[in-house]
Amino acid sequence: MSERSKTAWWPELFPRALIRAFLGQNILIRIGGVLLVALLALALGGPLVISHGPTDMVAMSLQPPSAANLLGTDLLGRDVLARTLDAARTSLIVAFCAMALSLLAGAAWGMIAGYNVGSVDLVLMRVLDVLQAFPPLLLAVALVAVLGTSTANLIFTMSVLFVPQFARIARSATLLLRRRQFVLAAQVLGVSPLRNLLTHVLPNISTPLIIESTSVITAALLTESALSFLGMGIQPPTPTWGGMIAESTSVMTRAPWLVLAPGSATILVVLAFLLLGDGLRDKFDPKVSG
Amino acid sequence: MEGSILLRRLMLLVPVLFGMSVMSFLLIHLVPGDVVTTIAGAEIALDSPEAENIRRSLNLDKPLITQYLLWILGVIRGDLGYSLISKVSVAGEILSHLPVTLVLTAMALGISVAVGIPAGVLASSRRGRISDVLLRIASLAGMAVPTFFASVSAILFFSLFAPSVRLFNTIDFGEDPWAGVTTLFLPACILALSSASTIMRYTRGAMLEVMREQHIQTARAKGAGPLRILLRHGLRSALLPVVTASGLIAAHLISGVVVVEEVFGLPGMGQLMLSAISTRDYTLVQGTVLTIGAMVVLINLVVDLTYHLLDPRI
Repeated sequence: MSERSKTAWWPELFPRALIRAFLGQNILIRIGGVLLVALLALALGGPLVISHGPTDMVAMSLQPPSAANLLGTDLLGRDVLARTLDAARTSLIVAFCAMALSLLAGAAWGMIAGYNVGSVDLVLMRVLDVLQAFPPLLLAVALVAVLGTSTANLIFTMSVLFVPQFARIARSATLLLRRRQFVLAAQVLGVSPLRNLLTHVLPNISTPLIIESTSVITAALLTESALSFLGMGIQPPTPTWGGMIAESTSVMTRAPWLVLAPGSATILVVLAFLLLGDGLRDKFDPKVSG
Repeated sequence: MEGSILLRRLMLLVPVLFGMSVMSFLLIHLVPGDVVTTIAGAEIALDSPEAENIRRSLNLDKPLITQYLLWILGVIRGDLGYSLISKVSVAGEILSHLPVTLVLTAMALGISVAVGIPAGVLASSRRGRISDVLLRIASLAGMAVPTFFASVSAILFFSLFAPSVRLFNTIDFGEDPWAGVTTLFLPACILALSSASTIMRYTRGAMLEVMREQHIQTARAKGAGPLRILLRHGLRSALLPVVTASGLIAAHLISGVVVVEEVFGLPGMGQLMLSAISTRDYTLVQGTVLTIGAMVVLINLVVDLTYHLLDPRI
């Protein structure tokens, strides 16, 4: 019995329709996907091709782009391309971890609220109201300021920020599902609430949650880069896009590539996720579709 | 009628404001270790009279509930305590930094609405045509550009190609309000980038949905002109979801304010908070967080009430 239910619900967490959409016909998904795969390949494969590391001082300071240093060098003579690609890896990992954590917490939060209509739901949702009333960056800055700047704190802080988005979606989907026959039937048969949520509700709310996670990733990427720009995100010497821009503003009129390279990288990665999210939304949520 | 709506909206704000005050209050208690060492340095003995003094001045020697009540009573009276570093009143500091942020936010919101809503209506009415596609791409780009990068790029652009433009002026609304507003224009435009894009997307989506409805058919059958149908019958009902989203939009806009003020060196709330954080001035951080949070709530209230004035149905 337990064997069967395991195989029954895990594959459905990534519904086949969603997988087909990734491979399929939607133009936005295709552009976003191709862009994302290309950027990932660059970020992961870059270090194999570029011989110098992100913190190696390889040339004179502030060299313009050349064959040896495709995007020039920074104030300390470090290769801007190597740093930009390294920052891509860091940013994506941090954003992904934050997204995954808040997806877990948010899905649980929303399912519990949606399943226990009444006072539990009311209290849980009011807490989210308060969280969402704060400007996200403000809350992040304040939390990082009191907790201290470290990558772990950064991930934790951002995951707190994005819980409401997931929780609201999980809740409204759960509210609809808990009146459905198969959920009620399981309830009558004595299936525990936890098991019922995991085996019957979760698989059916995973599509909107996965779609939402694309927009949370863009928010996480933008928040992380803004925090790093303000010096409250990932700390040097680890390169980050925000940090690279912040440390070059004083010399940017002489060396615009120092600012433009990490900036464009941020835009491209965020754009890829936005396109992907838009495409998925077009496909699965006809209400907002174009 | 108007009065009861106002009252109901205000009642809804009470739990949010209460939660906000609790969160701002608890911030100072999240500081790892003893706050005293953070304020006075690691060399202070935790049981020395100086340490006791610091605790007493922050009411840290009392139970948590009492601390909160003392603090919130002060807040209601307009007393946010004193800066740990400069010893000046937190409320005074906030009042002197508030005008820049208020004007900047108002300008950015105005620009976002003035650009976002017409662009959304246009895109929806030209659905699938080239202008729709271009507007959608522009809005995606507007959302993908980090605010700090847009600000830095704007400064880079002006210093490379138009060095005669003075971007950094002192702002004194009492002395020369117009100069202040012109100085804030570029930062406001940059702030409006992502919120205008968001508003455009919401407007477009809502318009597409509304234009399918029956009352639009009725208006068409009645012989109303296309512009009248679009604006009077379409946009009016499409504005509701846009207004609903305005809460999140306002919150994100103010996030951007923090960054823009820092980059352009504008003496507003965001800069005040960042400098308070860098000096570990926790009472000042607490005060700014609470004020900015309350600002977002009030913006939502104003937008909400404006909408009620526009459309008496709701």
